[in-house]
Amino acid sequence: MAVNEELKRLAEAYAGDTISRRQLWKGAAGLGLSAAWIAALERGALAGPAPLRSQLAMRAQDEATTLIVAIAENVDTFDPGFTVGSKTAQTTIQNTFDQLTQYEIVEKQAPDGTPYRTVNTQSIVPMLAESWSQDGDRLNFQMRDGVTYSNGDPIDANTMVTAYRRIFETNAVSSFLLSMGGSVTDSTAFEAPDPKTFVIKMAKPNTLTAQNNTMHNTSAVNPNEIEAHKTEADPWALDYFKSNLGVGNGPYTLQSYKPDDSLVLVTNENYYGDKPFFSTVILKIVADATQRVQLLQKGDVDFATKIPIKELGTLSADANIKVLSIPSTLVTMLELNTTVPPFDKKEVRQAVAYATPYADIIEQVYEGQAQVAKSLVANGMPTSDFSTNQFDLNYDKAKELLAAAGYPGGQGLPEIKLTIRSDDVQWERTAILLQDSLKQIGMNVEIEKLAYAQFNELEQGSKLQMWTDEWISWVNDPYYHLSWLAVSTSPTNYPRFSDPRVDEIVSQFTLSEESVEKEAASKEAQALIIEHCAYIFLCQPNWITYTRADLDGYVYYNDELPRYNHFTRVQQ
Amino acid sequence: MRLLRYVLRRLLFVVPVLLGSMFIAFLLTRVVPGNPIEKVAGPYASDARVEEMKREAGLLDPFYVQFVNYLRDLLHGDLGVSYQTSQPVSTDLVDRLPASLELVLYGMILAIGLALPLGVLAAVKRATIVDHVSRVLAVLGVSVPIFWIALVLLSAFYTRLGWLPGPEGRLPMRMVEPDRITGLYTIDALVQGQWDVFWAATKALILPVSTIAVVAMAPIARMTRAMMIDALESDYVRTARSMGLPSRVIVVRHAFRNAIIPVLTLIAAVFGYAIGGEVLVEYIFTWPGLGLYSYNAILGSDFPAIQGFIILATSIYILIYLVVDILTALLDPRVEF
Repeated sequence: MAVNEELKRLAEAYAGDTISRRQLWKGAAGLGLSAAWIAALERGALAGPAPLRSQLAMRAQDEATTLIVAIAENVDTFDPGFTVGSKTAQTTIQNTFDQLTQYEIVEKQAPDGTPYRTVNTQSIVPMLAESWSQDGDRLNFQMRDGVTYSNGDPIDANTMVTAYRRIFETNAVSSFLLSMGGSVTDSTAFEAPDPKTFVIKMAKPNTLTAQNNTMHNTSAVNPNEIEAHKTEADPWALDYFKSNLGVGNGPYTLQSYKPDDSLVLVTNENYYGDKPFFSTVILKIVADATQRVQLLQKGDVDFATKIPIKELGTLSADANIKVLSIPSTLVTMLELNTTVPPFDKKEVRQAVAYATPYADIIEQVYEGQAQVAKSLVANGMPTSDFSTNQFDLNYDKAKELLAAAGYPGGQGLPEIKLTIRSDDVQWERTAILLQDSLKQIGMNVEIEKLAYAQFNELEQGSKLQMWTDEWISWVNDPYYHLSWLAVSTSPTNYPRFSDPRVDEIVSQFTLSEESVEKEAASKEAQALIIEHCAYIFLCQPNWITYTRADLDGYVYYNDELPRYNHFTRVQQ
Repeated sequence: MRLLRYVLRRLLFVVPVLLGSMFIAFLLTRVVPGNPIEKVAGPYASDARVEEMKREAGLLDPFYVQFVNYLRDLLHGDLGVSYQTSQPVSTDLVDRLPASLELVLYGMILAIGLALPLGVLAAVKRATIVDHVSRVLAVLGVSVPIFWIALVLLSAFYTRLGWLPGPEGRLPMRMVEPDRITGLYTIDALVQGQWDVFWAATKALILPVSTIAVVAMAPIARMTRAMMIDALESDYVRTARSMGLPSRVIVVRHAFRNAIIPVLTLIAAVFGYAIGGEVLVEYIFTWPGLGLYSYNAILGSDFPAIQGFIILATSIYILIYLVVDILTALLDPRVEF
């Protein structure tokens, strides 16, 4: 008897109460079904004619093609140009909008030999565009024929011109990215010489703008929707898109959003690409990390995000959970405000660098799931250079430097506060290790825990003295990275690090094509940043995903946003 | 007529209480570090852009100007727009109120339904096993933190036994909610004959409602016991006993009726505590109500949302006290109104 027929017989027998639950499980397992599929069978998949059972059958079949993800937070804004804080908003936008281009997906191996899929950021391939090319200072995109928004509205080069003009004329975040280094200066840089060709004119040839252009922030909202919702005071319909997700053109569309509860994505029937395996994706908002873990362990969700590192041991030991730990370019840092005593003295900052327990942080806080970090430009980014960093744990050198700064044995040091965010226990554990270690050189530090908003305000105003934070660049380009963190005028250079030579290097090479000089200049800037010790690099934590064992297809992107159309469910 | 005058007189006091609570909420949100603009602007915004956004939002105005503007908008029914949800705060509150009410109302009904008989029994059967059990429960309810009770219940009935749903909110993830009539899923599902939704909503309520009930019943049971002991030792009960009245009549009609009056006031206070304690319960059970909303608002320094929540919570609190005062006046002939 064919497997399907045997399964149907089992299901009908169970539905008719002629076999027990145990017999059902034994029979189905004997046919090679995984626990999830047997559970679906038990709930009525393939079952007989009883009305309730048949309803359940529909639901069970839906379950197999429904992906449930436990996420942590609400949406801040649905406007692709403006979302900056909420991973939920960014993920929703990324899954409902395609960009002109994307990074190529490649296979790699984790340090433990596990194969995984990620992207090659040096290889940009078409997405909404059929093809693209760089011709000097022009990026040319040939649009696909017949591509539409999910409501059927056509997309051509003129659509892109309107959408990109909106980004610039509203000062959206994406405009900061595209204009980095002065590459794209204003909305006149976008042209459509014909409906098939979209052009971005850059100030000069460079490799950065094409990478910036792959990000979700450049998603093109529908001009017809802008037209329908604009007002005289709001010609780009900012108010509308703030709380309404525009009609997208990606693999999914947003069916519903209930704040503090869930978002439901369903497949876009008009999508030009391959149909995703999962026809429905439920993003369940679960604020408490412990509850996200419980839901994953019980099998009520397929994938849980933002899981604290302390759960690694428990989840790794669970045969029903798949844990993927892969190297990432995220750097955790101790940041020292160079404008506030005692950290206005380079020797004090260097003393802290020598008194930082790097190995303990990797082992005790990150349970070994982190790499050593020795430069602002992380390992895994082009031109990353650790060679000049000599700051290993060395209390003697730290004490010497502290004495040279006028604080022998820590005498005369002002009160020092180490400020951390209260949203993840890793920060507290790191802070305690730092506090203990700094005490060895006579530096007494008080730990201050702040809620996200309070921390943000003080950090962004450079009002903190010493704090921990992390950074990952969405674009895997050292000059993108240096522009945000090391340029003296950058709004995200919170420790107020300032070196004229670094400014000069970033200004000279951000908009340039690859060359030996560009690589050498990046390394020179990194050496200067290391020496100043405004940033002390603690480690590069791995990116860890936790899914049910039957979920497959995850692809790691630099922006850390999952693309649900890559996922599939496999039989165990 | 006298009762109506009493109610109107009490309502007059509502205005200064609401104004006072609004002022304190407004002051606290401005004094504590943190403001919503930094988050909305994001890390890439320049200092100048952040300042401009603060100016546009009126956050650079002097405190008193901000407060007067807020009151002016409030008089027009405008509670502002939440920075976290980009929705009017009034819409957010209306959307979430039923979820919280369903939790607190059932929690309080369960707590009162258990605490009053337990308190009466403990007083009547003093120093027996009933009294000891009642005392242990009361001590546990008062001394154990509400979040711990929630976590223990979840761990036992969801994680280990698997009898009840986990922290999935008001309904299982794939289930469609009933059409909104009252917003209380159990009632709406019943009215619309959606038995599967009713059963699922009821199951989802069991653990969070029990958590609130355990905490809320403790002080009510203790107070009921103490008041009943006082009443049972009073002269009028002794007189009633000497007149040969049946024990049930003495306990229910005479002692309990006198003992319940201070308990009513306590129930109002516990109701207020339950609204506050609900924040943690909603956080742990992923319950999309006012508690979770205010929790997120506080973390994100979402000023309009925090203020809106405080106004609503204060109003509910005042309303409960008003109802209790009216009940007290009706039950206790010594109260003049």
